[in-house]
Amino acid sequence: MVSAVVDKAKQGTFDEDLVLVERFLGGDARAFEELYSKYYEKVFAIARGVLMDSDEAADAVQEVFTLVYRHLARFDKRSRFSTWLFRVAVNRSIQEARRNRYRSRTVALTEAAGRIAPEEPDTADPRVQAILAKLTPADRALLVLFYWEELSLQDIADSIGCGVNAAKTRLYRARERFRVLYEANP
Amino acid sequence: MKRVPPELDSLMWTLAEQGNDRAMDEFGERHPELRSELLHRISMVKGLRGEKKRTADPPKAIPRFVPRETQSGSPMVVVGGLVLCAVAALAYLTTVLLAPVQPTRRVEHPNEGLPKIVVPAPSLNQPVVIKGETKPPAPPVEEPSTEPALVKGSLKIDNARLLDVIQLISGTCKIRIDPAPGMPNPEVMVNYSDKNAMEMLADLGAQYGFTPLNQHDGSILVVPARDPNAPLTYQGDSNSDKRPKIGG
Repeated sequence: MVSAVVDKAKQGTFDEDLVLVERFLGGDARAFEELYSKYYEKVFAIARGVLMDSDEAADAVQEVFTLVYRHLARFDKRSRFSTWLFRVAVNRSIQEARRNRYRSRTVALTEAAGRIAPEEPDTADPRVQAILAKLTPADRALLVLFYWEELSLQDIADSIGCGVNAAKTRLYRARERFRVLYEANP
Repeated sequence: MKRVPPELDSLMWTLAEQGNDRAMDEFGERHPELRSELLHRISMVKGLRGEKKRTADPPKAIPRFVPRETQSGSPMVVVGGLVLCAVAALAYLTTVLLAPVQPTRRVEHPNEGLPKIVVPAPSLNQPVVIKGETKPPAPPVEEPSTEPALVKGSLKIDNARLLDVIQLISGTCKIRIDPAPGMPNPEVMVNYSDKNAMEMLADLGAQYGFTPLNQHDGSILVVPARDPNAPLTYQGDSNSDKRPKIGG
């Protein structure tokens, strides 16, 4: 425990989450509850942004934290815990979104004809959600990490598992695709 | 959208994302033609950010975390695995149970009439004791060879290619001869009388650097290599008597 925390402290990038991680790995279950409470909202926002459905997002959050709970020992502590967690969240949400897209197509073919969409309260810009829905889950994940979670390019790169330049390019492309659709729907 | 130079495009995104009113005003004054585009992007960024507030509010009370059961795989994968296992087991049983039983080849022993020696299955701690006759068991009886006999023949050729000669030996001695790749093919002269194919080929092999190998299935394989310790003439099979030296 101490070594990883001390190493990070020496590097000047002390991550207080590491203490919680080490406590949990040492058998303190309450440490994980602290991590869960601390990051629930952020993970929920990522999942909601990618999945575009609150119920599915809540379900995905539980999946994400279950994965983290079971595999926290694999966290190599070279990056921050939050970045690693976001990476799990992004991957899991994209995976779930792809599965749901298939499921929703199946539903659309069989039973969704004529179904009335539930009314959304207080729509600031009704185009945004429609346009986000047209993007790929991976594009949505980038926009969510950048505009919702306001992560730096470095953190985005770590969260999606690529270099900073690649993250910048992917973000640019995702934003351009969003812009094209946004301008096509004045 | 009008074609915007990349540096201005990047600058407009930065301004829209940072929301600095003064910087945006300055940009609008410098590039009045891009003012509407900048406003468009500001509205887009606001829309994107506002979407979080509108939709991504988490439940008011954070649900209690209970680790879920580990899923070993989706139901489809599990069902697929079971089906594969069933098919594999069925295929195995079909092969084992329905395959035709190979008839056991029975070898006639000369001491067939002797009383049988019963060897009980040994247990772990008991030594094997053979009851009955103290006579040692009869030595294994060799099965009569099914190998076709080598046919003898005579051959006299002046100046022909080695591979052609080998083909002629094959025809004369009624045996298949398979030359391996890389065989030499010089001009040769042969004169054999009353020799079988192995004898002829062994003699030629000693001269031209190849070795005939009797495959005992009615064919001879000829390889372009020579064992330096090999006899210069064909000695027959290991159980054969000494044979006279063959001349070329």
